[in-house]
Amino acid sequence: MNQLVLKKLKIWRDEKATQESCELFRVFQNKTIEDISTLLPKNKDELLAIKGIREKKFQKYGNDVLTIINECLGTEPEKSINLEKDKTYTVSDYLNTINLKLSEVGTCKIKGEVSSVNFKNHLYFSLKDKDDGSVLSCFMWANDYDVCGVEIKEGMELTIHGFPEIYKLSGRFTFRTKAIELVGEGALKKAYDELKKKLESEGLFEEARKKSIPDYPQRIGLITSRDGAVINDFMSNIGRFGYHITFVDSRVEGIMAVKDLISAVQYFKDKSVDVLVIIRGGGSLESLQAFNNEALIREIIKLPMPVLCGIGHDKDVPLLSYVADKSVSTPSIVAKEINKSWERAVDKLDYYETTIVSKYEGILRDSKYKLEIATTQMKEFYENIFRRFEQYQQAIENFITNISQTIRHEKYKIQKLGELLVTSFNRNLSRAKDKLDNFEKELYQNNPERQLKLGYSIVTLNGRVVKSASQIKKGDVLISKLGEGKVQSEAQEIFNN
Amino acid sequence: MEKLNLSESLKKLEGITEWFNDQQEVDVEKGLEKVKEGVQLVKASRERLKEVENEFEDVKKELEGDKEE
Repeated sequence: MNQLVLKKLKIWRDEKATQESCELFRVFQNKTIEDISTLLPKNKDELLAIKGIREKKFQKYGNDVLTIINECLGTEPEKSINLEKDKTYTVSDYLNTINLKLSEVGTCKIKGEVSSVNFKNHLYFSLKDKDDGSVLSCFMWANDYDVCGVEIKEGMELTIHGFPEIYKLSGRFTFRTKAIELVGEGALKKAYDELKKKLESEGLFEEARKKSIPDYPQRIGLITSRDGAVINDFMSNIGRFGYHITFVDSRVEGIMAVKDLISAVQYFKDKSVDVLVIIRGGGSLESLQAFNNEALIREIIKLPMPVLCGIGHDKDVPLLSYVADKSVSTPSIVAKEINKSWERAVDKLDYYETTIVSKYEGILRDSKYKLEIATTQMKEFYENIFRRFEQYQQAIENFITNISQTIRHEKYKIQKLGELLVTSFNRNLSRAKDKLDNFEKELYQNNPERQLKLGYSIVTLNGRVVKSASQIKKGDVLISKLGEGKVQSEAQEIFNN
Repeated sequence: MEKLNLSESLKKLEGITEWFNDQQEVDVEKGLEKVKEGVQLVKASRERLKEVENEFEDVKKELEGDKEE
C-alpha cells in the first residue's frame, strides 16, 4: 500500500466531505481508499474496477483521485518531494508539489492568540505568538467553523488543529484549520455559561419538549469511545434482554471529538433505534468540551429518537445532558435505566397473571352463587306450590276428619239415644208391669166372683147384670149366680124400694 | 417466540385486566376466552423475558455501504 497516496487521499477526502457537508464515508469508504492506495489505478477503467467506485463516483471524484495518484507516483518519496532543477513548472504544478511536501508535516495543534478575524464565506484569521509576536495566517471552511462551537474574537486564546498548505488561489501560506478550542478554564466557563443561557432561553432544557424513553427498548444506538472503561461499564450492566446494540465509536475528548460525535449522531439520524445512548466517563469542564458544543447539541435536538445521556462531570453539567431527553450521571446508571422497564415487566406479568386468574375465579364464584340463588328460588317457588297443595290437602283431610268425627259423634249420640230408649222403654215396661201388677191386685180385690164367695150374688136378666129392680118385670126369669152354682128364678113381685 | 412484542403483549394483558376490573355483568364464556388469551400472553412474555443474549454490532462508519447505489 502506498502510504503517501493513502495520506493524500485521506486529506483530500476530509476536504471533500467538509465542502459537501457529508460524512467521510459518503465520499469514499476507508476500504475503497485503501484499495486505491494498493492498486494505484492509472486510468478510468482501472479505477472503476475497484469496489465502491462506479460511474457516478467517477464523474464526481475520478479526476481528483487520478491526479493525486499521478502526483504521488510521479514523485516517489526520495526524489518526489524535491523539485526537479531543470524542469519548468506551471504555477499550479509547483504549488501542488509544495503542498505535497508540506503535507508530510502532518496535522498538529498550535496555540496562540487571535490577532485578526475576517469572515467572508469562510473564516480567515491570524494567530499571534504571545511571546515574540510572530503570526500564523489561518483558514477554516465555514462548515468546520460552524461545528467548532467557538465564536472567535480578537484577543482570544485558542488551540487550533490542522495542517499547513499554500492556498493556490491567493498564493498565501496558510494553516488549514480543522478545529478550534478555547484555552483556559475562564474562557471555557464563559463560553459555557453563554451557550447555556442561550439554549435555555430557547426552551431547549424544558422537560415538555423532551421525548420519553420507550418501554422495552430493543434497538439501542450507542455512541462512546471504543477505548476506556466506560463501554465495558455499560456492557456489563446492560441486562440480557436480547438488545440489539449498534455501536459507533467516537472520540469523546480532545479537539476532534466534536466532529466524531456529530458524524456518529448523524449516522443514527435515519436509523431505527429505540433509544440513542451517549456515554462518557467523568471529567473537567475542559475535557468535556465536546459535550458543550452547540453544533452537536443542535444535531441531537434534530434526532427523531430519544437520547439518553450518561456523562460524568465535576461541577458544570455538560450542556448535552441538559438537552438530552434523559440524563443520568454514569454509564452504568444508563444501562440500568434501559433495563428498568424490562425488569418491571416481570412484576407486571405476575400482577396481570394473578389479577386475571383471581378475577375469573371471582366470576366463576359469582356465577355459581347466582346459580345457587336461582336454584334456591326455583326450589322455593315449587315448594311453595307443594306447600299450598299440602295445605289444601290438609284442609281437606281436616274436613274429612271433622265430618267423620261428626258422624262418629252423631253415631254415638244415636247409640246413646238408642241405649237411652231401651233403658227408658225397659223402665216404662217395668213401670207398666208394676202398674199391671197393681191392676191385677186391684182387679183381684175387686173381682165380683170374689164377692160371690163372700155371699153376694150377681143377678142377670138375659145376660145382663141387673143393678136395679126397676129393670125387672113380673114374670122375668132371672139367673142368679152364686159363689158356687146358679139359680134360676121367676120374679113374682116387684118392689121398687 | 422471538418475534413476540413484549410491549404489545403487556398492553394486551393490561387491557384484559382492565376488562375484568370493569366487568359489571359477569360473562363466563367471554371471561374464559380472555383468561385463555391472558395465560397464553403471560406464558409467551415470560419466555421472552428469559435471558436472551444481546447482539452487538460495531459500526465502522467509513465502511458503511455505499448509499448512492
